[in-house]
Amino acid sequence: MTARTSILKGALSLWLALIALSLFAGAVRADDVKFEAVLIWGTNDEKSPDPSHKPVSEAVAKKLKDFKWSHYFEVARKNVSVSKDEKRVQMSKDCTIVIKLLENNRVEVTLIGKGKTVGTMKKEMKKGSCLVTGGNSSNSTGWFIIIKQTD
Amino acid sequence: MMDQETQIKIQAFLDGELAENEARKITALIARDREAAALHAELKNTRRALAGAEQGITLPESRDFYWSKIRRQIEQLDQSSQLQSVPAAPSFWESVNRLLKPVSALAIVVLLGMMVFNLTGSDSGSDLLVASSDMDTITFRDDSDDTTFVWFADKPENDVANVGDDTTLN
Repeated sequence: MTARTSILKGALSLWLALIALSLFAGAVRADDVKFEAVLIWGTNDEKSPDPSHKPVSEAVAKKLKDFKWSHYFEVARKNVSVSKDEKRVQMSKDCTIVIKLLENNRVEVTLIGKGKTVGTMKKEMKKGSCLVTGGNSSNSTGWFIIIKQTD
Repeated sequence: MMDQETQIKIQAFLDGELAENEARKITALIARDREAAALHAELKNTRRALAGAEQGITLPESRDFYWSKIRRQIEQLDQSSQLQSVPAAPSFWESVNRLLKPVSALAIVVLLGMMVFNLTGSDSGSDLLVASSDMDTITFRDDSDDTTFVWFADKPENDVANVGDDTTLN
């Protein structure tokens, strides 16, 4: 074996090692992951009875365009930074979400209504990913919570 | 049947190793006993045949010089084997290459492991929903902007938003 072949093999081995390390590093989530949680009310009324509610952005309206309501109002917006421990976020008096980071970039979101667990969702998320959960409310209205990973 | 001692004496007689008295007795025995005579003749023929087959080896030099030459050759072989047994110091690239071999093997193992894990990981892949038992859910996904929708469809009021409660959606 010539010296050049040895060097070539060495470089190839180093390259493979670096790839493996980078993949391994990619599998380990950064300490803090940032999310944006938005509570939305869907209705066919043009105006919300609560003046503090403001219409959702065009991007959010586009995301919800397939649902039956014609107007969507933003009720609450929270920015959340989640690290090792799960984070509880109160979206309204009776609505709380719990965000927890899992392995392999997966995120667990638990929806709690009046202290009772409504559902738990798990989704593989990256920057820009969204989890939209919702349900029917009274008077033919609907509620939504959009959880978006922002960083 | 001739005994073994007599046979040995006939052999010794043939080699000229018997005393005169014993030699005379054996001579008489050979003369009168056919079996003894036959053995004597056989041994004599064998001896003659072996004597003719031997080849004398003559050394081209003196005995002492011959053996001293062999000793010197053995000493040279010992020295060369000792030199070969001392390992040469590896060069820098040989050291690096030696170090990178296990590293690359480990990297390949890690790569394969991660590929397998990514393919068969227990929680990877499609979204998973665990809802409460009294709630029907519909899940669908919009791949265009990586959005997953989870719709809780069972109850018109599900405690997240309640009628007449100003702090919730209504």
